Amino acid sequence: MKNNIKIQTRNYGFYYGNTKVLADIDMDILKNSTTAIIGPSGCGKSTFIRTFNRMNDLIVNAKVAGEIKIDGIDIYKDNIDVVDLRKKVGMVFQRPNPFPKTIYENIVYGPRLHKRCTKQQLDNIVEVSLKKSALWDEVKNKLRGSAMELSGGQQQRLCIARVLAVDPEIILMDEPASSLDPISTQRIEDLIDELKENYTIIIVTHNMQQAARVSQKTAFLLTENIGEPAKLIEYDNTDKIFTNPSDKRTENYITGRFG
Amino acid sequence: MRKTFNEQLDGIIEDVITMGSLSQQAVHNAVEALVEMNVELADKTIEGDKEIDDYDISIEEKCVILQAEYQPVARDLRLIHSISIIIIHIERIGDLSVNIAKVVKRLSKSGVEKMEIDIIELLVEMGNLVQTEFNKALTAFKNKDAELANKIDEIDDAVDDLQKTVFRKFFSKAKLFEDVRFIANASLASRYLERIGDHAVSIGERVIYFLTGDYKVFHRSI
Repeated sequence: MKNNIKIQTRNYGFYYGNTKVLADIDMDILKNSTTAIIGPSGCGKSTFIRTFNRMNDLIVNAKVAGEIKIDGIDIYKDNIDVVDLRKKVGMVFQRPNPFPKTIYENIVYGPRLHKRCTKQQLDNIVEVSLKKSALWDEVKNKLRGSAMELSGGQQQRLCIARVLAVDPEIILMDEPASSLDPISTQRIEDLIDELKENYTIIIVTHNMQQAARVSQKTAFLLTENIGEPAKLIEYDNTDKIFTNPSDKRTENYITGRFG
Repeated sequence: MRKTFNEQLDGIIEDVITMGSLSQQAVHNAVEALVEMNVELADKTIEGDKEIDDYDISIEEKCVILQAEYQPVARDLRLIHSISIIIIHIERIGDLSVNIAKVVKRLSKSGVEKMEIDIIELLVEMGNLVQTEFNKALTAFKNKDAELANKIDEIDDAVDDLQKTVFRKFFSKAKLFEDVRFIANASLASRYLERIGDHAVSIGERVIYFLTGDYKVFHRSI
């Protein structure tokens, strides 16, 4: 079991200035699986997952407490190379954010930053990444066309391909399908299901059915009283959470009784 | 949306309770028709089954629509899923009451006007017990009472024992009852009553499941 743990948090807390927004989160996130983070708006779900690639370092006065380990290594130690960390832990955002460049340039942007590659190597990365993100067949004949001309769903898959191009181990997804139509959403969900075979995926979603469909583990975060930090209320197998949650607060939230 | 969902779910629960009452009445009428050899009441039981069947289909359809529209989870999901199964049991209880009513009609046609008093006593006792079981199952559903639901199978053992007694009695009287048709039909009636008890127990198990989420309840009798 222990070898199967990719990310481990202990007594994790997060502060914006002196305000503690997340507290006491102990979680073991499993390798090659999808973990869904659910909870009402503003409870700190995005803040929580952005800790895993230290995106929150960019926020002035933000501070992390406790311990976060990836593969057993504390990612907040002084000797951690944040660029390497972000290569290992990729991120997909709510709105697709392709660069205003060609499809090809979007994919090779990351690999070029991290290492020297030949044209053939880059071509190969483009093809493999687009195939993994289930976009290859749709764009293989227009790789030099603008990424901005793709549909929203295609742009989001392009963003996933861009993350895959730098060969990450963990993919953070912050409501990756919330701005997409049902067909595009289904494609992204199918993709998540395929990608989990080789990557560890953590997804924030407000869509309960999506959490139930795509994840194997679900964590419920909740701020119980205004001014208090959000806490991890329940973390269990997704099947259990959506059929028979242990905590009444989880049940009330997922059944729409509040939140 | 939660309000609309609750209203629709409450409507379905009301329908289940009404369907249960109709089925309760069917059992009551069937037992009375059997004991009294009342063909008129038997006919009434048979005719009344259509309404129970209509409720079965209508409730099932409403459950499917509610699931499609709201994708319920947790306790809501367990309740709707359990209702879909509970109505099958209630519908089967209605059918078994019809079967008992048909026994009455067959016996009457073959000239039986009244059963022997010791057989009547046994069937009345069985009838009372299965009606108690069924009442408890429906009350447990209505009041969301897992404790009551848990007690239903205690009565069911007595029903099973009574059915065995009925069979033994028939065999001991085999020489007196020369009409095999009578023995076969009356045995069937007791068997139908026993099955009604089993369905009541199953309803109770579904009530426990939807209240606790514990699947173990379905394994206890295996």
